[in-house]
Order: sequence, then structure tokens, then C-alpha cells
Amino acid sequence: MNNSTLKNTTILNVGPQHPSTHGVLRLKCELNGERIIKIEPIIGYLHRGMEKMAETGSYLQYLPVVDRIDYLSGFFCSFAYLDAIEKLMDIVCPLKALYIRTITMELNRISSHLLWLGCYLMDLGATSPFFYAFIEREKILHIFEKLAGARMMYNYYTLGGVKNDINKELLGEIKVFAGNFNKQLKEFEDLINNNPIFISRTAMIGVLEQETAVNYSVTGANLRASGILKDLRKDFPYLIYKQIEFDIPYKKSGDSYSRYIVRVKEMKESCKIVNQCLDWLYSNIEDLKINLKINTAKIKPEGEAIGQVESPRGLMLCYICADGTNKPSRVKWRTPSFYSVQLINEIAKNYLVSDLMSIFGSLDVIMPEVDR
Amino acid sequence: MFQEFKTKFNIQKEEFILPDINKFYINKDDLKQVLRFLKETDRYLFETLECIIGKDNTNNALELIYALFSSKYNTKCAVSINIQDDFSVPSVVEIFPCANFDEREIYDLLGVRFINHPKLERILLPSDFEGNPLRKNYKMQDDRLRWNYE
Repeated sequence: MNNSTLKNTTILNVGPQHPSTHGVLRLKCELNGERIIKIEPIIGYLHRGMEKMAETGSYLQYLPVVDRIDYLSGFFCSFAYLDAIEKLMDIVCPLKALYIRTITMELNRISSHLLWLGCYLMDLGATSPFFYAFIEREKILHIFEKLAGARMMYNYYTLGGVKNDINKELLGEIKVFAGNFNKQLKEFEDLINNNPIFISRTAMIGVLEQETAVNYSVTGANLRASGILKDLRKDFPYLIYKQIEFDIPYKKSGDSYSRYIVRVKEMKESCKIVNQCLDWLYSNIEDLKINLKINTAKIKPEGEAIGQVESPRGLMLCYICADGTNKPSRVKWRTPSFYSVQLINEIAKNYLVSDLMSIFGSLDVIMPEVDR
Repeated sequence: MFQEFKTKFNIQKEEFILPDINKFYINKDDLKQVLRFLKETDRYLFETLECIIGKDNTNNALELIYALFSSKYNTKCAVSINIQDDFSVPSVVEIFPCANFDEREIYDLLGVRFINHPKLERILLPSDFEGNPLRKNYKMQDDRLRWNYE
């Protein structure tokens, strides 16, 4: 760097408290005029020691805490954790539990994307989509409240199944929601997709090249918006995804706009999956077995396992090393946002500082998941 | 699939991480060579480093597991190194840029020093924190957590 540019750079500090960082994140930006030269993300403000906490209690004592890793999609965290233990102990859940897990996870994906959609447009200055998205999200949270007893921190999955059975009334509610949802989504798209302000703030902004995406281990919708078709539900099918028909939406350009389009399309696909699960659950409503009764004193697995799940933000892994006692010896979380946050320096470089929040918002980073 | 790789680097020990991930134990000094080979050889193309897992095996021995994914062959594998006494490991940031935060996290929580890392500082814990919490010999200072150990 020569002297003339040195004179022109300014350091701008964004956060830790800032409305559009969606949590507590600090960005140290180096600017040349209004152009970003370098951004350094500083994280750790929400660190709760989740991995250390796992080592202090038994396997099932840790279960309620797991939902807090990513509070917008608690079902996915529980599933990744239980998936690893179930592999270690060779447990196969009853079929009805698998369907209930799938339907709740897909509804959770929709609710998480809806929150992202509302908040992202709020970041860009549009207030009304926020309320429309939250009306729809509220319907899903009501369903979850009836099913699991909580709106966000469910603690609903358990080793070998789920805790409460789903009844006909609840299935009816889900059916009404899934029936109306595509119409609602069409309204959002009419409102947003061709909006000139939205397009000028997102199209060709924050372009993520394929090579950078792979190098930075980006997963989920961010990767698929750059044209790489990678989805755990197709690559390594878990639960009942093998029997279900759905597509993986993707786009080639890799800008903020295509990340938005991919997420909206993903919600439609989730709706499709929900409908297929509903059909099965309606015809097997009498099937009562939803979990295996497992003797909690016998939960003493041994070995190493990785539980994996395609969460709304990307690939989530839970590595468990078990040593034959009732406590895990090591639990490691691989959370997708941890890798997206590193990316910000690569993709926001050379854009204007006013684009920073548009780019950062489009990555769908959630801070409790980064800091764990 | 891994026969060529195993003979080239003379791999003796191999384990499985459930469900079906091969875990190869390699020498600490070969780490960069092995990862570059797995990333760039056409037969493997493990171009994504999913994460680095660090764990304490007690008796002053740590283990680092590099979880890799190849989208072309749709396979996962893991490369593992055991480190004893001297906790310094070559950094792999130049091969996989995403390892930057991962290595800082392991430095922070387990106290492994990564040689040639661009910025080796604490990442999750405050900079004046003492000790490495995920080590098995770490004593929690907090009096409120005493019930866990009595």
C-alpha cells in the first residue's frame, strides 16, 4: 500500500450492537471514501460454552440446551445431535416419528426463511413485508406451540422418536396453512420480485463466485445461489427424504438477488414436502408408536459419530465422541453461519458501504449459531 | 477408492466415524502434503473442508480431525493427526481459506498453536481469558458450578 492510499483510508466500526447485524457482531471496516477495502468480523459476544456444557451432564440433560444453538430452527439442532447418538446406539425410530420429524423440520425451515425474508427487507428499508412475513410465521409458531408446548425452544425430539403425538385437529391446521401458503408466497413475490428499488439494491451486488464459495466451505442456499447443486437431503438422504419428491432450487449468478430467489423457491419446495407428509400421516393416524422406550440408565454409547442435517442456513454437523460413560467426551458443532461470516470480507470488498448490510443480510447469518 | 492414497502416504491406522466416514491417521509433518494431494488429485477432489474438530484424548495428547467432502464423488472422509507434548501444527489456511476461523477456535479452546496462521488470536473468548476450557485438565473457576463435581 503506498502513501497516497494510506491517507484516504478510514476505519469504520459497525456494531457490536447494530440493528442489521441480527445479533451481536462487530465489523471493523476499512474504507476508502465510501468504498470498502477490508472487513474484519469480530465474533464471540454470544459465546455460551455449548461444547463445554455438553461434557458436564448426561446425554439427555444436554438435550434442552441444544435448541438454543440456533433459536430460529431448533428442530434441526436437536435432530443433528440425536442423529449422532442414534447412530452410535443403533436406534431406528418408528416410521411415524420419522414423518413427524420431517414435517416439523420443513415447517421450521419455512418459518426460519420467513423471518429472514421479513428482516432482510426491513434492512433494505421496506417495512410492510416484515409484517406480512410475520403473520405467516405466527401461524407456524401456533402449530408448534400446540404440538411441542413451546414457540421457539421446542425440546420436542427425544432419543428414538418424538415426545407428543400429532392429532387430527393439528393435521387439519397444518393442511389449511400449507394450502394457503403458496397463495401468500405469490403475494410476496408480486410485491418484491420486480420492485425496482429492491432490484437495484440486490442485483449484481455481493457476487459470490463458485470458487470462493467452495474455498470458504459455504453451504445451503448461499452455495446453491452460486450454481452449485449441493443439498444433503439429496446427497446423503436422511429421515424419509428418499421417498419424497422435491426439487433443489438453484441459480447461477450468485448475487444477493439470487440468494433471495433461491430461499423463496425453497419455501415452496418445503410446502410440497409438508403436503406429502400430511398424506401419509392422515392415512396412518391410528399408528400409535411415536417413540421407543429407552432405559435412560443404559445410554452409554461408545465410539465416534457425526450427525448431519441440512438446516435452513446450510450444513449442520454434530460430532460426538463417546467413551462408554453416561457423559459425552466431546461434542463439536459445525454450524453453517460460522463459515458464512468469514465470507463477508471476500464478497463485500470493493462495494459501497451502503451495500454492506444488503450483502450481509442476504447471507442469512445468525449470531448464536456462530458463537455457540 | 482410497487404496492409492493409502499406499502413497503409507497409512497404517484407519478407523470409522459413524455412519460411514473413513478416518485416516497420518503423521503431523505430512498434513499439508496430504490435504493438498486429496484436494487436487482428480481421483479424489476433496475440495471442501467441512470443519476441523479438535479434541483432548487426555494424557497430554490432542487429536485434530479434518473433515473433508468431495462433491464430484459425493464422498466424505476424515484425516486425523495426533499431537503429543508439542502442540504446534502447520496451518492449512493457504490450502483451505475457511480454516482460518476453525484454527483460531482450536487455538482458543484447546491451545494448539498453528504455524504461519495469518492472525492467531482468541476468537470466542475474551482476549484476557486464562486457560483453554476444552482441555480435560481445565478447572472451572466458577463457584456456582461446583455441584457438577462433588
